[in-house]
Amino acid sequence: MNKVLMKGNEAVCEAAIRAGCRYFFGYPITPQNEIPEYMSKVMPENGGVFLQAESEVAAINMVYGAVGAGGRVMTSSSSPGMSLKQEGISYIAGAELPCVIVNMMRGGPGLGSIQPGQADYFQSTRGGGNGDYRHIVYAPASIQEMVDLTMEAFDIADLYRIPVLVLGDGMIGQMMEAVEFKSIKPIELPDKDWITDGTKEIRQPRIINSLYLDPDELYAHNLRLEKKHALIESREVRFETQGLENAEVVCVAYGTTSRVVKNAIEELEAEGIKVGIIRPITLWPFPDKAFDEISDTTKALLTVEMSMGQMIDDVKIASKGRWPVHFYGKSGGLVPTPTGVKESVKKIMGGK
Amino acid sequence: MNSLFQKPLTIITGHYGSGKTEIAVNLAIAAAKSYQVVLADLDIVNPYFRSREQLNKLKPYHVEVIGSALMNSTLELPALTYNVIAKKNQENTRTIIDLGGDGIGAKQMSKYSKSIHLAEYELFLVVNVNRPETKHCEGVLFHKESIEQQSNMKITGILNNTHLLKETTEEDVFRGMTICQQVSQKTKIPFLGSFALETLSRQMMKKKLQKPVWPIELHMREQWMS
Repeated sequence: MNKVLMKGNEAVCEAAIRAGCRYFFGYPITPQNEIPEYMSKVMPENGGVFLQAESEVAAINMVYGAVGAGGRVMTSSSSPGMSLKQEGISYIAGAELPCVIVNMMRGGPGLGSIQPGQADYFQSTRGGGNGDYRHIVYAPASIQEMVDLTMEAFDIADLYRIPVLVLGDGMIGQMMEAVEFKSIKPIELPDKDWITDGTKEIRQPRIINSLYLDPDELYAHNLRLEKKHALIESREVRFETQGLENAEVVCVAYGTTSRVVKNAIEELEAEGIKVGIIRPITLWPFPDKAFDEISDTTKALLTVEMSMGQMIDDVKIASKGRWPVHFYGKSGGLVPTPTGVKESVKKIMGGK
Repeated sequence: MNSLFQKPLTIITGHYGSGKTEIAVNLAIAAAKSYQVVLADLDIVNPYFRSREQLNKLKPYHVEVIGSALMNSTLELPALTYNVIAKKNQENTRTIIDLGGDGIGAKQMSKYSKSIHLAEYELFLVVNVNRPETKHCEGVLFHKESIEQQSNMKITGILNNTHLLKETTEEDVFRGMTICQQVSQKTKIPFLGSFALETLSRQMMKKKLQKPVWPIELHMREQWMS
C-alpha cells in the first residue's frame, strides 16, 4: 500500500502531473489556492510550466493557446473565478480543444463566501458561456475518486477534443484523505493532427478558431458538435447506485453531499427505513438511465444539494414524471446535515 | 498527556495535515480537567477546519476559545489580543496555541516571542510522515528551521502524529517514530511521544515502548467524512 495523506487541492495537482499535464495557468482564489501553490512548486521540478496569470480571463486564454500548441494543460479556480473563465471555455469548446479545468465551488452568487457550495451546477452543465456547446463534468465524492477521475480526464479530453471539468467544492479541496496514485489503463488516442506547432515548411498552416462567418459552415460545425455530444452521452455516463432494491425513497446527490446522504441512509436503515441513492459521477452527461433501475417500491425521490436546488431540474427530466421529486438543501457555505436528510425522508414518508 | 502542558504556554505547530489542530483541541480538553484553559486559534493559513469551529463542542469542557476572525465570519485579522499571552501569568491557567501550519503561519508568534521566556513555554512540532513534505528526516528538518526562523522561537519537543486518519496502522506510527527519533538525534530536541486513535493507542501501549502513544479523539472531522 502506497498511500499518502493529502489535501484535495494538492492531490488533484499530483494526479494531473502523473497524467502528463505540463502546463498550468491560474489565478489565486480561496478555497483552491493550494492548487496554484502546489503547481508552482511541482511544475518546474517536472520540466513543466507554471504561470500565475494576471486574471482568470488571461489564464483560460493561455490554456486555449497552450492546448492549441499540443500541450496537456490544466487551469483551476473557484466559483466567481469560473464565471470569468466562461468566455474562454466557450471558445475552447468551439475550437474543439482538449483541456482539464478544476472548480472548487464556494458559496454564491457574486463573490459569495469562501465556504463550500454546489451552486455552480447550472453554470457547469448548461454551458456557462455562449453558444451550443457542452463539456464533460466529473463530480468526485472523495479525494481518491478525484485523483482517479483527473488522471483519466486528460485522456478523455484528448479523445473527444473537449474540455473536461472536474467539479469539486471547498470541502473536497480542503479536506485531507488517504490517497493512492494508481497507474491508469492507457487508451488509444488519435494523433493530434490539428495542433499549431509550426509548419516546418513541409505542410500547410493550421488554424485554430471558433469563428464561422458563413451560416452554413457554422451550422455544419454545430451539427458536428452535436454528434460528438451524442457520442459522449452514449459512452461516458458514470454513476453509482446503492440500495435501490426495496427502497421507499431514493436520494439523488453528488460530490460531498452524497457522503452526507450515505451517512443518513445508514442511520435510517438502523431505524428500519429503506432509502437508496443515485450518485451521478458525470453531471454532464447526466445519468438518466440510472433512474430506470429504481424499483417499484419507491414512492418518491429526494434531491439533496449544497445549493437552493439546481440538479433537481435534471432529476425531474430523468424521472420523466414517474415519481414526485422533493428537495433538501443548504446553501451560503453551509453543508446539508445527515439529520436534515433524515427529517426530509421522514416528512416525505409521513405525507405518503 | 499531562506532561505536555506543564508550562503555562503550550504552542502546537506542524504542517497542515500533521493533525496539529486535533492535538491542540485534545490537549485543551485534557488540560481542562485540572486547569482553566484558553485555546487560542492562531492558524491564519487554513480557511477550513479551524479549532474555533469547535466552539460548541468545547463549551462543556469550559475551554475558552479565542480566534482572530471578525464577528464570527471567515474574515481574518491576523492578530490576537495581547490577553492571550497575558493569561500565561494567571495562576492555574493553561494557554494552548494552535499555530499556523508552516513558516508563514509561525510568523504570527514572532511578535510575542520577546515577551515569552523559555521557562514559560513549550513549542511542539507535530510530525506526520504520511504527508509528502515531511516523509523524510530532511523534510522535517527543513520545516523545523523555517518555523524557528519565522517565529523567532525554539522548538522544544517533537510529537509523532503519523496517521492516515481511520486507516492508520501500527506500522504508520512506528515509521513516524523512527523519523522523529532521527530528527531528535540531529537536532537534540527531545522526541516526546506519539498519538494514535484510541484502539490503536491501547494496543500499542501494551508493547512497553520507550515513549508513550497517547490516545487522540477526532473532533474536527464531521461524522460523514469517514
